[in-house]
Amino acid sequence: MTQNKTIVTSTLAAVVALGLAGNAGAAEKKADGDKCYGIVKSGKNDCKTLSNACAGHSMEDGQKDAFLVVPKGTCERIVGGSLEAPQGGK
Amino acid sequence: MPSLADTQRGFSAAVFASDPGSIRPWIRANGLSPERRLGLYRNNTFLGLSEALRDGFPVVHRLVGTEFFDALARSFVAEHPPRSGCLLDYGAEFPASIAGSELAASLPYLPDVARLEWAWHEAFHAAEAPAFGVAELAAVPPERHTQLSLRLRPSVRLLASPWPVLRIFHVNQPEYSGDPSIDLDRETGCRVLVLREGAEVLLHPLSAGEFACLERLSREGSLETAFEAAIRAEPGFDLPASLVRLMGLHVFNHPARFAGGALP
Repeated sequence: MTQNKTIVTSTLAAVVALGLAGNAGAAEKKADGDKCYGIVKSGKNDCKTLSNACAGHSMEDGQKDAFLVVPKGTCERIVGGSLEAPQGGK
Repeated sequence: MPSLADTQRGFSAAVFASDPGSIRPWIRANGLSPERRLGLYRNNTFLGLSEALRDGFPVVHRLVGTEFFDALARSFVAEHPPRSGCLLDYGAEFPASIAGSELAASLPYLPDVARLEWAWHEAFHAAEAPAFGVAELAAVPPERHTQLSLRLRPSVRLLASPWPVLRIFHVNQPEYSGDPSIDLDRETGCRVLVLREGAEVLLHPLSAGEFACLERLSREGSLETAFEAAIRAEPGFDLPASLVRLMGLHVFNHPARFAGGALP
């Protein structure tokens, strides 16, 4: 108990010291140095409704057979990888 | 006369399973056959739910195109009638459904892209909560540090993937103007911190140590297990500096909880 609590007390003491003693800048710098992609999106605030009333008014089952469909989008720009996960991921 | 529950079950079977058997006798034709009447509801339901999925998973949609996305969505909707009256809750199981779909087997990164998008969606709609930062920690007497237990704010999500899903997400944003090419043989996986700041969702890459620490805390782990996991996960990990960084990102919930009772 005493042993493994040491990591808590020493770490939190260091966090307070680092965070308050003007070293916050250094920590900030570390944060900046990390590659953040800056993906910022404003959220959607829409009230969900069935906006496709027109298409929905079809009485027939107009959907295509799923197995005839192939992906056709920006995935064409993603190459390599085969079916194996790349090394070094986790 | 069937009960209300039987009527609803019969209607649901007609819509989701194309099985109008039990509801059909109770529908008056009046100019349109019962099958065609039910077809209206069926189409509206599938299109409405597919549209909700398109809104929730715009990067997946962009990656595979509308026709393919609609095929994925359609097989998902047939298997997953909504269980909540709120359409915003719809789609939580979509990533797992993609992972299990033969259709998308040639795009092995797609389920993790979908998981990232759902994490984004959840973070955006999660409850707001005040953050526990360095100033709040400094107000805690050091002798009580061992009783402290840190939890993540409700709007924080974590994701680890063997695929570069953060980059895939990034280059598939509508406003991205660079080269969207990604070579999976050259890029590695990633660990992502998803969190909402104000009304915006931010995605930050995490180191192995940071991820291990937050992952333990997200599962109600104690500080010592989280800290030990972090140091084990990343040799030479600078734990205090990372905690200062994470506190600056407003990852932790306030008030922090104490094993021994109330806040100081």
